Amino acid sequence: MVEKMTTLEKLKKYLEKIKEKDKDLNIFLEVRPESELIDEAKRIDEKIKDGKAGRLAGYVIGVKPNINVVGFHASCSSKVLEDYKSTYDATVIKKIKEEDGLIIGMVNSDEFACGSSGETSAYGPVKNPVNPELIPGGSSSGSAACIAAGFCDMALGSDTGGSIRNPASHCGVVGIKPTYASVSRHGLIDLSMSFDQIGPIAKNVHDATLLLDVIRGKDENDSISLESGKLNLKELGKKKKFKIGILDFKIQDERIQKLIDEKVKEISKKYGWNVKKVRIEYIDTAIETYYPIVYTEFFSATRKFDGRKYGKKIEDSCGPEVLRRVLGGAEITRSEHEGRNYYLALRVRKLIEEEYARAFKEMDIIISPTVPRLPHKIGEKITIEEMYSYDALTIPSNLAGNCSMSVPVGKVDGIPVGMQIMADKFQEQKMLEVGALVEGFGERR
Amino acid sequence: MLKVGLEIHGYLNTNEKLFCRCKVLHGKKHSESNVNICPVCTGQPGSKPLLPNTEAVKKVIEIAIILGCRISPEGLWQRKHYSWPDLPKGFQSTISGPHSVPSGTGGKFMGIRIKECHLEEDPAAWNPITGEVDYNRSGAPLVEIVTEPDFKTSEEVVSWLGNLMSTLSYVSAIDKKSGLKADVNVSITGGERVEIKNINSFRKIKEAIDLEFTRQEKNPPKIEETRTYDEEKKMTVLMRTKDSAMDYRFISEPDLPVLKISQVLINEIKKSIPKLPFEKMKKLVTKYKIEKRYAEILTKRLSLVELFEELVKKVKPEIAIPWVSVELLGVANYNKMDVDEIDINPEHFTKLLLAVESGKISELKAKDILRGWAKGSSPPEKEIEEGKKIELKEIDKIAKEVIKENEKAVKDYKAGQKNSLNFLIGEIMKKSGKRAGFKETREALLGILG
Amino acid sequence: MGFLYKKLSEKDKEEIKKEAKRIMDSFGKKLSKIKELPKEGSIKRENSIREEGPGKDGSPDFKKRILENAPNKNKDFIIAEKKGWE
Repeated sequence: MVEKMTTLEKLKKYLEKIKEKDKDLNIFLEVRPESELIDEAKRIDEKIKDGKAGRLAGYVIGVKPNINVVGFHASCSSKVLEDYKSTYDATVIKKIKEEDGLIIGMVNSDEFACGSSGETSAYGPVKNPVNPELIPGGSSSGSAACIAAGFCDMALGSDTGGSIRNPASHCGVVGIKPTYASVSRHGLIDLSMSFDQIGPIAKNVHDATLLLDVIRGKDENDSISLESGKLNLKELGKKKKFKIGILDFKIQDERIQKLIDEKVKEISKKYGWNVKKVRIEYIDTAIETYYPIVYTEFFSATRKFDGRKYGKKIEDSCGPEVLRRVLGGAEITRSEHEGRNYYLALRVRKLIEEEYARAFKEMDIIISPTVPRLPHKIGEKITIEEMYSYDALTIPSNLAGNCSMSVPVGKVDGIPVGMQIMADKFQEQKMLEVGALVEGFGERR
Repeated sequence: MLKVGLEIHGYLNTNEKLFCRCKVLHGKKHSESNVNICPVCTGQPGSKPLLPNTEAVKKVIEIAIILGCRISPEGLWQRKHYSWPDLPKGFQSTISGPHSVPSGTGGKFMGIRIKECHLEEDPAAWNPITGEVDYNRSGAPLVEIVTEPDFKTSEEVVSWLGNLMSTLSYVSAIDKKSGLKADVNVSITGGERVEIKNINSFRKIKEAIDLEFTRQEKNPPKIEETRTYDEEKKMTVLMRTKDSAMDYRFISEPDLPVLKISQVLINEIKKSIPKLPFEKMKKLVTKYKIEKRYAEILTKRLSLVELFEELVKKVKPEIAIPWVSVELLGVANYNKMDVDEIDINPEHFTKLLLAVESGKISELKAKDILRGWAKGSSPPEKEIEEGKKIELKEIDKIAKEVIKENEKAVKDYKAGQKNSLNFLIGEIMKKSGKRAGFKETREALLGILG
Repeated sequence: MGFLYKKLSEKDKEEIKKEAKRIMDSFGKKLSKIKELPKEGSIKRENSIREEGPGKDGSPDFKKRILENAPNKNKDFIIAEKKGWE
C-alpha cells in the first residue's frame, strides 16, 4: 500500500517527528544529512513520476547498525566499532537501493546483537515508544521502536534467537525471521553464523512481506544462502484454510497465553481452521542448546576485532554481555575440552530440528506467544537466566532453521503482546498469509 | 642420527583467490601494494567466504594424486584461530585439524612418505620491521604438504624439494615463481623435535638444517621447540616451546558447505595429469642414449627436463646434454645458488647453443655468456655477434704475436713438450677475447710452427 | 553484573569470566542428560566449489576506505605492530 504522500513529504514528516521525539527515545544512532536525504527523495519521486521506480520507492527505511551501509558507521552499537565506517554495502542494502528504498539512518540496538532487551547498547538503551519506562526488547531494539514511534516505514533487523520477533512483540509491530539461509548474510556483522538472519520489521504484514521479498535470494557472496520462492503479496488477506498447531508449553505469564489462545479460537472459528495442541519434544532445552553455540561462534566471529585493521580490540572496549559471550566461547573452545559443550549442543540442535520437521508434516503452522512474559522496566535488576528466558519461545525457530514471525494481537496491562506464527522451512508464503489474517484481528494501531 | 620432516606451502596456479574473486598475483615482482583486495580477503566486519575456487581444489587433488595419496571424498572446512598481524579474520580457513580429514593422506613421493596434503588460504604479508601489512596475497590458495620425518641429510632435503617443486610446477599445479615456504622439523636421536618456521629458499633450508643439527648435537633439546632462522646471524632463534604452544581452537566452519570431491572428478583429474618429469626424463635418457653420468644428474634435477625438452627442439642433443647437465650446474655451484634459482629462458639458451653448434662462437665464449646469466638469462644475440669467432687470418695474426711473446714455450714445444702447445693455444684464445675457436687455433698454430 | 552497558574494570572482567563458565557448565550439564542424540550434521549444499573467472581488479575506492578506518597507517599500508623475537 503505497502512501498517497510523495517520498519527500513523507521524509519531511519523519524527520520532524525524529527531531521532536527521538531525544526521549534514543532510537537513531546516525541520521543521514538532511540535504542528502531530500535530494534522494526528490530523485525517487522523479522516478515514480516517470514510472521507472523500484518496488520500494516511497518507503523510508531504518537499518540496524550490524549491517554494512556505505556512508554510515556499522558500529554494532558498540565502542569497539564506533569509528568503523562501512567499507562496502551488505547485499540486502544493495537490493534495497536497487529498488529505490530510501535509507534514512542507523538505529540503536543491543551491543553486537547480544541481548534481548536493548539495555546492552554502548549508547544507552532505546525506550519502548509505547511506554518509555519499559525495555523495547532486543537485540533489534531500535528497528522495532522506530516503526512503533512512527519514525519510518520499514526497518531491517537481525534475528539469531528472537532478536527481531522479541522487540516486535514488545513494541506492537510486525517482525519476520526468514528461513535460515534465505536472506544473504554478506555484510551482516556476525553474532552466530549458524543462526543469524536479516529480516524486516514494519507496521503491517504487507509492508514486511514486501521488504522480505526484496532482500531474500541466493547470493554468491554468502556460500550458505539458498534461493526461495517469490512471495505473492496479492494472496495476503484471502480466506484460506490452514492446519494450525498451538504449542503446548507452559510459560511464565499465563495472561499472555490466554490472549493468544483466545485470538486463535476467534480466528479459526471465522476461517474454519483446524486447530490442535502440539508438543515439541526437547524445546525445554532450547536455551541451553542455543547459548553454547552462540558463545562459541561469537568468540570465533570476534577474533577479527583485534584493533589492527579497524576499531579497537573487543575485549578492551565491550560491555558485560558481549564480554560474557566472548569469554564463555573462549572457555568452550579450549582444545583440552575438545569442544565437548559445543558439539553436544549441536547434536541437541539437530534433535530439535528433526522434531519440528516431524511436526510440520502434520500441520502447516505452529502458533505460540512470541515472548513468555511482559517486558521489564529499563535498568531493573535481572539475572542472566531470567534475561535468557525471554528467548524460550523464539530460539527454537532459530535452532530448527524454519521461518517465524510476530504479529501484534493485543495488550496485557496496556503492553503490546505478539503472536508468533511459525511455518516449516521455505514456507514463508503460508506463514505470511496466516499472519495477514491474524493481523485483521489485532487491535488496529 | 638426523631426522628431518617438512611442512611445505606451495602457491597454487590460479587466477582468483580461494574465497573471493580477487586476482592472484604471480611471481615475486610486486605491483602496487593493497590493490588486489576486497572485503573478504581483508577480513572486513560482516564479510563471508565465497565457495572455494574450483581450480584450487582441482590442483590440490592433482597434487595429492601425484604424491600417491588417498583422496578423501569429503572435506570439512575448519577455522584455525590465532592472533597475528598477517591474519585478517583472526583465523585461517583450512581442511586440516582434529575434526577434519585432509584431502590427501598416506602417500609417497620419490622415497619420502607423505603424511598429508590439504588446501588452505595464505595470510597477508606483514613486515615486522615497519609493521606494514600488504593484503595482496591474503586469501591466495595454498597447498600444504606434510612429510614424515624420513630425510636423513640436508642434501637429501634440498634435492627432494627441488624435484617436488619441479614436478608440481611442470604440471602447472603450483606457481614456482612465487617461491615456497617451508617449516622444517629437525631432530636427532635422543632429542625432542624442533620446528624451524617459514624458510623460503633452498639455500636457507640447507643452512638452517646444518646449523640446527650442530646445535642439537651439542645440546640435545629436552622439549619441543619452535624456532626461526636468522640468516644474518647464521643461527636459529627460539620463538616458543611446546609448553606455550598455540591452542588453535578448531571449530567447523559455519559459513562453508562440506567440500564434495566426487570419484568422477578424481578420475577426470587423473586422466588430465601429463606425464611427470621423472617419467619423461627416463624416456629422454633412452631416446637420446644419454650417458649414465649425465643421466644421473638430469634425473635428480627434474627442472632441467623442461629446459632440455625445449632445447632439443632445435639444438642437437649431443650439444644440449653437457651444457644442461654440466655447464649450467657449474654456473649455479660457482654462484652458490641452486640451479632451480637461475631463471633461464629456453629461447635464449637455444640461441646460444645454436651459435656453438654452428661454430659461430667458441665454447669458451659461450661459457662466458652463460656465466653472466646467473641472475637470469638475457637475449644473447648482441654478445654472440660481438664474440663471434674470428677468421683464420685474424688467428694467424694473433698466433704470430703470441709466438713472439712466448719464446720459451715455443722452444719447449719444439723440444717435444705437448703441454706447451696447449699453453700457446690458450694464450691465443685469451688474446682473441675467446673468439678464436680451439680447433681453428690449433690448426693455425701448427701451421706456423710445423 | 547485569546487562546495562558500562566500562569494565579488571575485577568486573574476572567476575564475568566466572559467570560465563558457570552458565556454560550448567547448560552443558542439562544437555548431557539427554539420551540418544543424532550426529551433529554438516552443511550440505548442491555446489561446494565455484568456477573461477579471469580475476577481479581491486577498486581504489575500497583501498581508500580501509586505510581510513585503520588506527595506524601510511599512504599505502595498514600498520600493525613491529616485532622481533629478542
